[in-house]
Parts: sequence; C-alpha cells; structure tokens
Amino acid sequence: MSTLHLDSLEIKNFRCFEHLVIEKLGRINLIVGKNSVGKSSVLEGLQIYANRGDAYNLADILKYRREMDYADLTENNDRYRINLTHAISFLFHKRTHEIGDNTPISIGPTIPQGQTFKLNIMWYGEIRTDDEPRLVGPLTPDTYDQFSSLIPRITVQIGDQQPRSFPATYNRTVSLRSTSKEGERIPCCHVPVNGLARDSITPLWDRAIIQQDKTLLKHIISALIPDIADINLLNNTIIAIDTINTPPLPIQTFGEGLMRAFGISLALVNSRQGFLLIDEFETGLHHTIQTDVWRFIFSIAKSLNVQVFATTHSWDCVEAFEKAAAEDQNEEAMLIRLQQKRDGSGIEAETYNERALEIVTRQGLEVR
Amino acid sequence: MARPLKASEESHEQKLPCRLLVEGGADFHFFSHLFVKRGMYAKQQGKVIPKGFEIRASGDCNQVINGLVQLKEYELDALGIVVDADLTLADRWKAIRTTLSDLKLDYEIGDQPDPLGSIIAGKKRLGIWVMPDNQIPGIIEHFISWMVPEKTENALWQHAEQAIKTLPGGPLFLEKDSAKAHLATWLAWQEEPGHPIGLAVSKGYVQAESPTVDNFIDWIKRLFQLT
Repeated sequence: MSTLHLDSLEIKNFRCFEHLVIEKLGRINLIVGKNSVGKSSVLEGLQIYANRGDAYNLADILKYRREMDYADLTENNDRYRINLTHAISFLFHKRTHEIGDNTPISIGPTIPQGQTFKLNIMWYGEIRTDDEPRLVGPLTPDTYDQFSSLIPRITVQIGDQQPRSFPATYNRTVSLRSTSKEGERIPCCHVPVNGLARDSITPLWDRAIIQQDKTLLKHIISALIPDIADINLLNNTIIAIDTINTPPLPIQTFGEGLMRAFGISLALVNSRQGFLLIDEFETGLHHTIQTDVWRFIFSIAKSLNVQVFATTHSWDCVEAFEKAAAEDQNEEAMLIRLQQKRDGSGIEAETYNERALEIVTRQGLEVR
Repeated sequence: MARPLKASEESHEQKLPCRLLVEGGADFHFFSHLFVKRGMYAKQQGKVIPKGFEIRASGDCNQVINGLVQLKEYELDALGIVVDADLTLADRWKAIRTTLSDLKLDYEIGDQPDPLGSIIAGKKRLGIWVMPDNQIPGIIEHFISWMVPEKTENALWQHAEQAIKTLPGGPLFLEKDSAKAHLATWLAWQEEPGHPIGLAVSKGYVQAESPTVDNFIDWIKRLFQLT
C-alpha cells in the first residue's frame, strides 16, 4: 500500500507563517481561505521541501513573485554577481531576515521522523592557507571576529543529517545550477494559476512519453471530450486529433478548460511518488467539468502515489471536490481552511475530513 | 459564484456569532417565542428579533447532530444543539459522541448529559441539551407539556390524554410520539384550535414562565454568556 509523503505539515518562519500546523493531511488536499492567508505560500513551502532547497527552484519561486528582480535592483551593487541572499530573505517570516540569524525556515511533518527540512542563510569564514582557501561554518556570532572575511552561504538540512551549504552569490554570466542531489529530491510539479508555462510543457511531455504515460493521458482527455482520438506534441504545442479526421488542432481550440485539464493531467503523471501542486484549481474550468477533473485526480493520484495540494476560492470547486471524494472508495480527501487566528497572533488551519465535507456541502455551510 | 443557500430550513435574517441548532421549523418557532416571552429576544411589528444568539433549524435529529461540524466555522463563538432523547437517552448521547469523534472535533463529553444542560469547553463553547431534561427518554413535547397550566387539574389536558389512549384500532403514530399526539390534540381544542407549538407559547396556552423551563433558560444564558 502506498503511504502519504506527508501525513501532517508543520511550517515555521516561512512567509506569512510564524508557525503553522496542519495536524492531518489527506492524499488529495484542497486549501481554501481568504486572500493573504498563505494558500499559495503552502504550495511554495512544499516545493522547497520537495526540492530540498535547491537554488534553481528557490530562484524560480522568487522570480514568480518578482522578488528576485526587486532584491537585485534595490540591494545589489555588484554588476557581475547575483546575490541570492537578498531575495531569499523574502522567504523568511520577517522579511528582514539577517544573515546568521539562527532561526531557519523549517518545513516537515509534525512528528518529524527525520524528514524535517531546514533552510537558512549563515556566515561562513574563509581560512587562507598556503594552498586552497578553505571554508569553515556555519559560524556562530561569537566566532565572526576570528575570520578576516565572512561569506554568506545558504544552508540546508534534512532531519538530523549533516547540514549542507551552497554559495549565495552567482556570476551573472553563468546560469544558476541545481544545488541538490537528484535522488534526494521528491518529484514535484506545480501548475500555476495561468497554467503550465509554454517552455515547461515539452520536458513534461517528453518525460510522460518515456514513462509510457501517453495512453493514460489520452484516456483522461477523451473521458473529458469523447471526440478527441489522440494527442501529440508539435513545436511546443499540444495538438489534438479528433475522431472525424479534421486536421490536428492545438488543444486550446477545444477551449481553455481542456488546456487547463490537460496541464493538470500532464503534471499529475510527472509527479509520480511525489507532490502535485495546483494553484487556483478552478481557473478556466466550468463547474460542470470540475468534478470530472477531480475524478481523474482521485483515481490516478492513488495509483501513482501522488499527494495533491490545490487551492481555490470557488464554492463550485469545493462541491466538485466533495462529489469526487464521495464517489472515490478511499477516505483520502481533506479540505483545509487557512485563517487568521482570532487573537491576531498568526495563521492557523482548520481541517474538514470527508465526513465533515459531506455535511457542509449538503447543508450548504460556509467553509471558504 | 455565490454558494447556494440551504444552510437550514429556518433561520433569522440576523447572523450572530452564537448559534442554537434545533430540530425543525416548529421547534424553531417554539424557541423563538419562548425567548421573547423570557425577555431574551425582542419582538417588533410581530417579528422576532434575536439578541446575542441566533437559532437555526435543521431537518431532523441526525441533521442537528451533523450540524456539530459548524464548530469549525471561523466566525462562530458558541454552538448549542437541542435534540430529542427519543426512546433511549444513552443512544442519542452516544451518537453525539461518535459524530464529534468522526468529525475530528476535539471536545470531551462526559459519560452522560449534565442534568442542568451540558457545556463543553473547547476551541468554541459547545452546549448540548437532550430533550426533555437531559435525564429521561422523551421529546420536546414532554418539555412543552410541563408548561401546560395546572396540568393535573386541567380537564381538557386529561381528556386529551384519555382520547389518544382510547383511539379506535390503536394509534397510527409511533409510541415515542405519543406526547406529540397528546399536545397536538390538546392544542386542537383551544380557543383558536390547532395552533403549532410556537403560537402555543405566544398565545399563552402554555406558560413560558413555568419553573420547569428555568434550567433550560439558565443553560442558554451560561452557554451564550448572556447576562
């Protein structure tokens, strides 16, 4: 039996979360809540967790929110080097995170079992001997003055393992490289509000072909639109071939909804043994098709051992989610509402299991 | 898109942070008028104006118990539920305990209801009243029958009891509902015949000031922290 990657979630010192605890997660999780309670931040936190603080992924997240440019424009005087520390400080709960502050970002299950991931920016000292310069660190403040030069580095730690660090500055002319080890990362695909970026479709398609998932994808799409007999990739564009032999057409021709559904299914098959993250699930999807999309997510996520996290603002989406959850044999859905604590001391999570979800949709109770 | 409004069969226009869930439309009106008579609710131009807490009616006992999920609502401070014990008080109490556990609601309820009405501390305050008095089997109509004036000398009341006991061919209603039949029969013979239980209170056929109601009113005041 496939077990969940995360049965619970605890996030500390990250974005708007000083300390967020979600006691229980399902396989398929739908996150609701008002604006700026951190729905997308949970998805970002999971990306960082899955990618083990990989610099390339961090830069991606920061670029998406334009925080990379901002930090670079306002705080970097070096024309030749990109300084990631300024941008990464945005990820910390108090955005003015100082290098060397000992409180890391921490993401993991509530009962860790060695999986908690920590990220920080720490000072390292350089020792120049006769041969190579050598780095010592991470340093504590009382040892700073023992070194002639201090260098900031991004440190990552998984459970009790030895922390690793990587440089926080990069030469502009060299593209940012991955800083994590392949085997250590958890597969993770993110479907942004606007859908998959055009340049990310080709690599995902290629991987789906190699994993022999094309039949599965075709099956999903023809379940949504029976007229579609086949799909293919042509010049970065997904094309659909219909049953009446009209010329192949870009999948968008069949509507934005189908493109969204296809993007989700492509990301799903690429999230095997990992996480699928969907920001604002309902985007482009008419409420009648939302249940169909949830249906294939419920059935495929289980067989490919994917844990899904989606956000929404839409009541239709909650109802469609409940409907698909109720049809599914397994008790695997969880609705999570993020909210400001009543005393104003931060953000908390309220969870609705399938039974609770069934009642709220039947009684029409507000959950968002 | 706005969510469909199907929250309850009956509710006030006002939304308040304290809420009482009751079993149906008739119960809704009974409690509304009881609270008016007891000076807790106001009445303007024939319309009941709730104060401090609102009432919502759900279809039946199970729906009221399922309504415990409302404890997860963000805006809510306190939730009270009023359910009938029916034939076995212990079974009803067990159903409440099971639902709390199924919905992962962290409220510790005792082995049996508090005779003065249960109030359980948690993230929100939870109140449970099992009709008629948290101690014996029965339904809301037992509670209302205790409000009937001078019941033992009340000839009409005795006559109604006699009538439902001697129905030709036996009763069509369930045994557990005989108090309901009794009360309805008695109400059928008032000056204005056949009023529902809500009007029975507002017309004064049953006495809102009856001391048998005091424990219930005290429970409401403690639960919703009314002064």
